[in-house]
Amino acid sequence: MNHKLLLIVLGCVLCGCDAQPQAPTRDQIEKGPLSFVQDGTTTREDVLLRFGTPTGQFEGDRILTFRLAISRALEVTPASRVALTYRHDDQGVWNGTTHELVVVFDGKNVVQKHRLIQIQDPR
Amino acid sequence: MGSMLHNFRVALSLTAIASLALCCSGCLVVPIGHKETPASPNDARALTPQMIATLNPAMSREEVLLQLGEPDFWWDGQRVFAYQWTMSTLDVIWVAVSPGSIFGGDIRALKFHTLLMEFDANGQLKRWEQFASNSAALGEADVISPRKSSVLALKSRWRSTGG
Repeated sequence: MNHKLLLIVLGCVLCGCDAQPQAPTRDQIEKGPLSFVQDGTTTREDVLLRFGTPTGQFEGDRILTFRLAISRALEVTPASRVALTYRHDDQGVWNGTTHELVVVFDGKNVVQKHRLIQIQDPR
Repeated sequence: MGSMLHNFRVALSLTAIASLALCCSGCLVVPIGHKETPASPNDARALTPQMIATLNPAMSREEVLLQLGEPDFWWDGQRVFAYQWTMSTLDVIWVAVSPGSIFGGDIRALKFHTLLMEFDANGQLKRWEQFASNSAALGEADVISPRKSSVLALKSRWRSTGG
């Protein structure tokens, strides 16, 4: 009887250890919070309204880069909106960034291609 | 200047620890080697050898950005990109015991990596080179990244030797 009780207690403890959700895969992120970014349809305005100021602009502003903090619960926080957490100084610090989104626009300001790069596991 | 001060501080601390080790009644130093990992979990952007191996002279600036992401610095109308990251290769845990007190800490061996790349006037990758230098930090909180000025100095030397 005591052994059964011990097993139940141990089971509860182990379940508690596993309470944190697994880190989402790139596919889950692309189909979840980033599903609005679609090559050929999403506009520059859509992207900027969602992510705010990009952290990098290249070839004029044809290519934009966004540093993102994506949680295990799939909440996306752009670097531009968490100024207290991120340090945008000249040392190139990537504090808190879990992913980077690189977006290439065509001449009509529509997303031509994009790529999500994982920097570290979501927290 | 900041980097010199930091190195001086690390050297001073190492000297103090060594002196302490001689004076103490007991001192334990445990080096823990490990594979290269980002030196600070909060600043974990690092390029892997596999990512760098994908570079080839036919790549455009756009392809490089899609492959490696945003560089840390860029100059000359985006003709030169610099990626830099700090890795840790070895941790030295030390514990010193003297009558009535015990204290210890962690010294982290660091490797500063810099990848410089140059594009031609058409935005095609012309050349690239990776540099590494060693340093040390007193625990995770002391880990610093190379400053822009040091990367800039590296870039100036690199440009003068370039084809």
